[in-house]
Amino acid sequence: MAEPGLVAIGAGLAIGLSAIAAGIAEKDIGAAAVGAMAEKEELFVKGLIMTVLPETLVLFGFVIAFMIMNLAK
Amino acid sequence: MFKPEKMALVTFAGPKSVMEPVVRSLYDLKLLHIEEGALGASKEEGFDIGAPMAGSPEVSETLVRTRSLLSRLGIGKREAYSARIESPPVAAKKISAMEVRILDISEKVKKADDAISRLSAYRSELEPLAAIGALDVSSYAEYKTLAVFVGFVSKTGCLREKIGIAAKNSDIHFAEFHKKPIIALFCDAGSKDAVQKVLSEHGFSEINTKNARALRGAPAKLMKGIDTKLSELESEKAGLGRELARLGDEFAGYLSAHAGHYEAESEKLGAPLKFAASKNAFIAAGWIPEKRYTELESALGRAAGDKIYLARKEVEDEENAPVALSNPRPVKPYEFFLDLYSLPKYTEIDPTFFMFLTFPLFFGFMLGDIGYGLVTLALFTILKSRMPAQRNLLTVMSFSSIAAIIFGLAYGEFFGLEKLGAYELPHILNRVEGATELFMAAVGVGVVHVNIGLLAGFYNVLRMHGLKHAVLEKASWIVLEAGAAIAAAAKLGYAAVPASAGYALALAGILMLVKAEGIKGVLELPSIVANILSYARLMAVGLVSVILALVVNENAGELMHAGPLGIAAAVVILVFGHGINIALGLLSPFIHSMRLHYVEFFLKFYHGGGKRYMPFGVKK
Repeated sequence: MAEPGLVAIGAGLAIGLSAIAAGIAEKDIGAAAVGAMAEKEELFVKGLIMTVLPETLVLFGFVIAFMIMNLAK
Repeated sequence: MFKPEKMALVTFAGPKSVMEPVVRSLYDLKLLHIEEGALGASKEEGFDIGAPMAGSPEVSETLVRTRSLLSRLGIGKREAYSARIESPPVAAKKISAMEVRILDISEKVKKADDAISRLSAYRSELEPLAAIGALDVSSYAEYKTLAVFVGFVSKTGCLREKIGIAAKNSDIHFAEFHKKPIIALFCDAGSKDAVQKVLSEHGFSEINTKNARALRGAPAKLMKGIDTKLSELESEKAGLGRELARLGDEFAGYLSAHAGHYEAESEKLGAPLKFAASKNAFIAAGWIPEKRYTELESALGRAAGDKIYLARKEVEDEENAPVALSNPRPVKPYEFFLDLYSLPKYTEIDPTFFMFLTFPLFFGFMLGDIGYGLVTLALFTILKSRMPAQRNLLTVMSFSSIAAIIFGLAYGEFFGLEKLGAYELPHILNRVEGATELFMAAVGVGVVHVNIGLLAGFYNVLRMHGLKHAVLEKASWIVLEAGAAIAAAAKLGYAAVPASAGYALALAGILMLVKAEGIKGVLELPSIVANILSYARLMAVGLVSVILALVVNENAGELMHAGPLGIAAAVVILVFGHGINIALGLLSPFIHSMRLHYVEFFLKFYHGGGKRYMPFGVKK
């Protein structure tokens, strides 16, 4: 049932699509963070943290990909 | 350690005759955080905001002039110089003299700059004309009966013939400028429109020659003349720059020292603005650390004897007290994280100690490699001596590197290698093979951390709103978790209790939450699962680091067997690969560790927004 090829495609899609989603999410936040930093240098860390907040999406994708890969073993 | 420094609220009053010695004494004491408005001494009682002491406008003015001179000399504010401070009239005269000389040079530089930009404008207009030929520049002027077109064209095919047809009299010159064809076209004014139509078909774009036309002579010669003039001006500017630098060396010490002195004076003279004053008296209030109260008493006694009245005031609104974090020396560098985010309120728990425990833990969990840990430890120790300003962050990172080494020992990884030659590194858990166990461990850490946060939140709410609120708001989550855990354990057969007990407990937890926060409490239910799962990133980021190291090692390993060239290539791959991995390994675990604290941990109990303790007399 768990064909290695399909498993690989599934895992790849899981992490790939969630990475794209995180990228789309972070792009506007990142742009705004850089704009804020240009006016006030102290905002660097807050901006950085807020930009990296959507990393959760990638994380969930990774976890799923990982669990799928375990299926193939 | 878990709470900010205890503050006492004091209030003092006296006649205006003692105000100046009191202010100076407080400035030197550097302990009192002045509360503006003296806590509501009202207008009806005859009080208003105090007026700055005598001499304040003059000091401010001299301060502004001194600072502007310093910025013209290009000397930064932070550089500390010491020079003998002279009395205001003497210093003011000296500063005025310096001002005259500095402004004189600035004027000359500005004039030179203006001339340079004017001449450069001429030069850029002359360039295309020089390409066209040696025709005197004044010929490019328009007359009533003569129209002139100078500009780029995109195609020159048949242009001459078409112009010949369109215009009664015309003369056209072709040339090349910046590898594009340009033309200079003279025609009778009457045919101007027809010619313009032809030119637009050929993609004509005009070049501005307005300024150049006013000159006389061949363009090339004029350009040479301008070039000579420009280099003269540049060397003049350079000379002026050197003179300014010389003046800077001469005056910098004096001006900086006086700027610093006047800043302090300005603050002291302006202090009464934070007091309340009547015609003959003043009253003020402030915060001081409880344990330093006696120092304040003796300082005021020395300054004003028995003419000043000092008393402690009952603190009603504790939340407004300024916050000075107090932590033992090893924990102190971690206050850096709170400076970055926001200080805790006076009534809250100070999370610095928690961060001291868990930040290096998470960092080590993710980086977990003996080799990388050693490299980063060396790096940060070296940086600490080079960049003393960032001491706090670098100390934090040094601790974290040590934690990474410890975890590396647990994982048995050295630059990604599990074996050094024939010696197999001892390990508790191999990250690649034991990934599922790692995942469980990461989530387990998450559960513990989140619950510590909830307990801290319980304490905070208990202090601020009482037991009932604390139980309903925070303990409800713990009950819910316990219920879910029991139900899961029962379902999986680990526990002897029926699953329904777990469900009942979970339901009780949910009901408590709804009671505390209304229906929106239910909306927050999934958030606890997301928060705990978020800790899976501890495993994910770590795995990424390991796999990258393994890939680098494998590639290098294969090349090692391919002769001397292969060995060289292998070394390059190793250096670059592990270098990049270390850079990623510094950035990623740091940010993710920080994020786990700021978002998942703090959200459970932290409000922040505390006012920083800024005593009068301490420079920001």
